[in-house]
Amino acid sequence: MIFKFLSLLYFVFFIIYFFTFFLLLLGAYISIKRIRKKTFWAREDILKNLKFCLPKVSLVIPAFNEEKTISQSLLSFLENDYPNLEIIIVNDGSKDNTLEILKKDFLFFPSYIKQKSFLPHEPVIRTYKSQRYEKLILIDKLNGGKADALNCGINFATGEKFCFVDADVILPKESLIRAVLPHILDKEVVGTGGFIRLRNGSEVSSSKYKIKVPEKNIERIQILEYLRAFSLGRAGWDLINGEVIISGAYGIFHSEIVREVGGFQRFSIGEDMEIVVRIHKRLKEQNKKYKILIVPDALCWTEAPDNFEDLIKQRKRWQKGLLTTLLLHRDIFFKPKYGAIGTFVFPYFLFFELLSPFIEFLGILIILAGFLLNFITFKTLMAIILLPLLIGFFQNNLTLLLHFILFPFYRSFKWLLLLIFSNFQEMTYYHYLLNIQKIKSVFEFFSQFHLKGGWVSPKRI
Amino acid sequence: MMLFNFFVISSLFSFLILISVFLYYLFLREKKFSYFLSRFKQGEILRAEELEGLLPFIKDSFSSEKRWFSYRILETIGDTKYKERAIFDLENSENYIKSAAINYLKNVKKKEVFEIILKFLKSEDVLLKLHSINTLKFISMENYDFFKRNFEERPILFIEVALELFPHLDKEKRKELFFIIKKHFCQKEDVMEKILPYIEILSEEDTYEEILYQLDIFPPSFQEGFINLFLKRREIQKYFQYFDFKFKTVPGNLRYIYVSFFSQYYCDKDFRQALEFFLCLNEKEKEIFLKDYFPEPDQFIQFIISLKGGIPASCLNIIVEKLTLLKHPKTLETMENLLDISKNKDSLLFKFFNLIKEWKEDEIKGLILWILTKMENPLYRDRVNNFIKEKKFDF
Repeated sequence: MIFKFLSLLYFVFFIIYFFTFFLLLLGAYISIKRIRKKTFWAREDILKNLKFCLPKVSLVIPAFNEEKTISQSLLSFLENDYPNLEIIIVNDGSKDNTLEILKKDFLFFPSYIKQKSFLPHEPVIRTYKSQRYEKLILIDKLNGGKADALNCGINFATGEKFCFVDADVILPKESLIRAVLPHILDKEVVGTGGFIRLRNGSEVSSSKYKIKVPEKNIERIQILEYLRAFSLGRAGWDLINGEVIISGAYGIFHSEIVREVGGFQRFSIGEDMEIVVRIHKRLKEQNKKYKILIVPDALCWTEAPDNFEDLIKQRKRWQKGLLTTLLLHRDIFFKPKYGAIGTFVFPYFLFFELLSPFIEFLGILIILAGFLLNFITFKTLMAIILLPLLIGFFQNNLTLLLHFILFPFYRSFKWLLLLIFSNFQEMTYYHYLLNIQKIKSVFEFFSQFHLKGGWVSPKRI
Repeated sequence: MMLFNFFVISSLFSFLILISVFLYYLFLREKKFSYFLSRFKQGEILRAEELEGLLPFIKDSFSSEKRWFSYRILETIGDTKYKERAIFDLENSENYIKSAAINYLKNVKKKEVFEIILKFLKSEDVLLKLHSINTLKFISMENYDFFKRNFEERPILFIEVALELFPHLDKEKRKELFFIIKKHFCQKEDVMEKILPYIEILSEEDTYEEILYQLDIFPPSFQEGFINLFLKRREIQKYFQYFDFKFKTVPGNLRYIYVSFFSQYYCDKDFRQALEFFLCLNEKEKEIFLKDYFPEPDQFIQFIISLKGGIPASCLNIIVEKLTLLKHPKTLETMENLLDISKNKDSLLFKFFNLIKEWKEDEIKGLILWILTKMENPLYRDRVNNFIKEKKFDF
């Protein structure tokens, strides 16, 4: 009886998960359509000529051991169309030649720069201004982690908006204007996030891109994952103002709000999620009307790990980050005063992101035990084991379909087949391998129980 | 009965034919528009005679999107034929069609259009307002005198257009516009800050002097920024009397604005003169002075050594940064002096250590040993020791 009950519970869990995900995709469709309807006539070609009408944006790029990509990335940021921009690179105590390369390629010379705020961070060694590009500033500081570097960057930022990007991403020229647009059109918008896409296998620069589906399985599977969980899945929460993750790879906030909440949590691992939750909390407690959104056409091309070792490191870090945020802000759970965040989003992240690997693992164990002890028939066993697999497969295909409706990428029969094949691969082994790592990371987290985490940057070729 | 049947059937048949023809017409229209659109999106320039084909779409009241795109295509290719229609749409359409018409009218560049569009400067719709500013900017570039008159009459309404126009004007017009902006907005910090980077082009002696001698009327941030610009390109020696007078007469909280001048002025003088001036400054002013004081290395070292106790704690980091830039033989001796007055010796030593880390081995070995003898904080000492191990220094 108990086995049947647990199997039923397991079954119900996946049905609820699927139903929630379906609602999220629906939400993503509606919110993307809505934001496009509001902004399609904004015309980047006109806005880029209006230097004084758009708010000043401080683009902060924390860099740690980025000698191979920093110059190329920085050039792509400099090509950005946004008319009122300052770029601040924070060298976070790199141990390689990042600083020397920057000094040489962009003619940085020591210069004194006024600090605007005093959020805590590791000491600054020296500040520099570029002799070649007026809007470029370099801050060399001792290593303190990404959140620490971002805090340092915002202290020197003079812009009304604070934009953070990873040093290895590529932003299309028009991306920043698109990401800032919701802030201009709607005063309630306090934060926006870009739409993170993978550039593995593609040729991408700030002005043009030739998108291809990568050849390596591990990269292809991550494309599906990004579409499902990090892009469309997140956009779905916008409908109920429940966005809690603005990816650390690309996001924009009101500078003053970031300062008001005390900047990034220095020793927290998932600093990007943590600060968004803190902003939600602060504004809800102040009873202010606000919005935090994902902007579907503000693209940001990032590079995913191309080997399993880096991927595991990255995912463990994300899982620990999620756990850190849920623990730090556990007072939000099921509190209606925090709106959708407390009642839907946090429980969703707890059950379907943090605990689902455990539930899946335990579920399979119990059902197997039930089968071995003859409490469950073979048919039921197969049905219950195949259920998450089929649901995942269906979810991915649904995501792909929605993606094809909304975006012009990967539109080729060959690529579609490749992606469906990767979908199959994800459901048969990748998903389970990652689940094991996620479970391990939770145990690691509690065994060490420290919140200080370093950077994880995939190896570059 | 047969006749009736014939009548009904033929009516139905005719109706079907009509419907089919209408649908075919719609299909052709759609195809035509898609054809224009795809060519436009590919960046192709459309021929003048092809433009005629776009008129039906501008009038198409069923599809606002088509109207919007048609205006956009026509605007891109510099067309002005549908001016009347665009003016009509400014009154009778949704906001995004209005904005398309406003953008399209940019090509007309006529004063009458200026008059029609200016009402959108007050629009609550931000995009409509931004597009109007852009169009008015383009029209004003062609009709500068007309804009100038309007701006003089209604400065608040046109200030955003004026600001956007400012960087695009030639030197003479920019100078003229600057003085109009100054007349109406000299106390507005946000306005004056925006034009500050663009007044560098007004580099004739008289313009710069004119602004300099009226500097008091501007907000402090503009004054500070202007003096920085001024110091960049002037023969500053001849202005000493003026700055000396200003420094002595402005209210105490604004004296810092004038300090940079003296930093540069004393760079070429004996360090004792700089010292005499420096010792009269308050802490904030001392920081500003030190940031901009770049004399010969020997003079700077003498200056620091002679300061003894007269250095506020906030200036120590600046001095250490400068010392490490100079790489002077007396660096160690100077650092000893600074340590004597520092309240947080370890922090200063650690800053010094981080700044010299990238020097060559033979340059820093002695300094590192000295740092270790002075440093007490075990955390900092560990970091220095780790560095020695990492670099495999052999002492």
